[in-house]
Amino acid sequence: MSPARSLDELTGGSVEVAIEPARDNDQTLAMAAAEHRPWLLRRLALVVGDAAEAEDLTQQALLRAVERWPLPEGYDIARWLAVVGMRLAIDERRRQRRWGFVPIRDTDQSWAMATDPDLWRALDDLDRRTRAALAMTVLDGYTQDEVTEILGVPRGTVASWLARGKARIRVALEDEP
Amino acid sequence: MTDDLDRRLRVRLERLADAVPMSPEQAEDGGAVVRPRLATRPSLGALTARVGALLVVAVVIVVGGSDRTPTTGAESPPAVVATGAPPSPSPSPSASPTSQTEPSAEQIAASVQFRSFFGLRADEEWIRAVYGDPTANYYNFGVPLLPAEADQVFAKSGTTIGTPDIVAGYGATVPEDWAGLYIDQAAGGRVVALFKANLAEHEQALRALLPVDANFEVRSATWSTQELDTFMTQVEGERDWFPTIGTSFYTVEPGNVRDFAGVRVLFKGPDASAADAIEAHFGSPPWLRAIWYGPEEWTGPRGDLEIYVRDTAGRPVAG
Repeated sequence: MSPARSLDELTGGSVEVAIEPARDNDQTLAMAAAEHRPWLLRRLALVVGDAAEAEDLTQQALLRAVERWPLPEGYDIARWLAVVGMRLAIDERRRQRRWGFVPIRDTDQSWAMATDPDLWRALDDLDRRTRAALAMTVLDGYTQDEVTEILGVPRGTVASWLARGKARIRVALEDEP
Repeated sequence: MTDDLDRRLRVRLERLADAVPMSPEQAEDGGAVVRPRLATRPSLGALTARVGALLVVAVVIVVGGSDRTPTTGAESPPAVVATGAPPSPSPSPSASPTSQTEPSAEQIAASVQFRSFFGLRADEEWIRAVYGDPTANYYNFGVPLLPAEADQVFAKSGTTIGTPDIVAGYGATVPEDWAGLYIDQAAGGRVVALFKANLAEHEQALRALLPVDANFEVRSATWSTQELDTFMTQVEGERDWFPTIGTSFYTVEPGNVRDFAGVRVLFKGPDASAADAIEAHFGSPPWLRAIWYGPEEWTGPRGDLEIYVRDTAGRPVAG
């Protein structure tokens, strides 16, 4: 694999790059990035709220995949990216708080407010870890044990997040017909 | 009940996820929401194998005898690296080191030196494992650290070596001028330190603290973080006033964005028209911006809205 290859080349630029096929499923890194970027961005946007920040995190997760490509045989690239992206989304916020980080632009959650304001407000009241756990279990079908491994926290903690998160969501949804 | 909630929540989350704005090149699949997990659920046997591999990792770490043994999955080194286990569909993001992640002797030496200084585990096996872990943070310290290790370093005395940490640490010593920092990615990750006053003095002090090649810059800000805190406290103290004009207070937050410096109060109400009244209530200060955060949650009856469209001839239009 050529060390000079850039991420843009790999993930949607017009440059065609010859990449060694992955051992598992003949999937090239470029194809994997193109396939997985949209859903990863969407998942991360549900966690962080801001679409631009989710895009940055998606880029970082893909960059780490580039650094380690090809993944060892048997690794599920989608799951690998989900784990890296979710952990980055959670850790980045902690790091920024530690710095007294000052945002240079408004957080833009208008896409969520315009789509489902009741649900987004309920989600927005939860912390990122809880939103991540909800997205992974409800939307992607991960079990609590799997989320425990992915987020690296005790199982009881995940169960607590999910119970609290769903209680809040239930209030937002319960009046619907 | 829970299943029903999960089903409804899933439908709503899917719709929300579909609404995430993305450029055409990002949505090369046409915008479809791919759900990789459901399509690739591993067998019970594969899950059992994973649990077995993780148990082996725990045993190896304990035998290693470190008093800083990671205690959670987030802190654990890569399973494959630590155990030499055969490749498996591991749930861990950690990949075994490839030729790209194999550290050089110099890199290992640098890690040993850094880790020893900060009292972190510094044996070569551990360092190689961390190099292979994609969650390791390379950017703040020059050597990779697991998130929990980075937290340990941050938690220690002000002797941190990351530029943002040094800048933030210095800023905390001059609260009357300190206005926060941000990273200017367009300028190669430059750390931009904001101060309300005495910029030259603060820049000189930071240059003495930072490495000579540190990528940082000092810029002027309108308000110090101390002042922003005061503003926020003032606004929050008036939260009970908001219902008197048919709105409700949602939250207040600092807003040092490019086109506005100050605090932003988010409110709910019928529409955005109350923003002027809210700002006026506080004397329309230059540091305040009121932002409509959507309508109050509807508590009355709900029903379905059905829309029928007909063409100019009166014929129903499908879809």
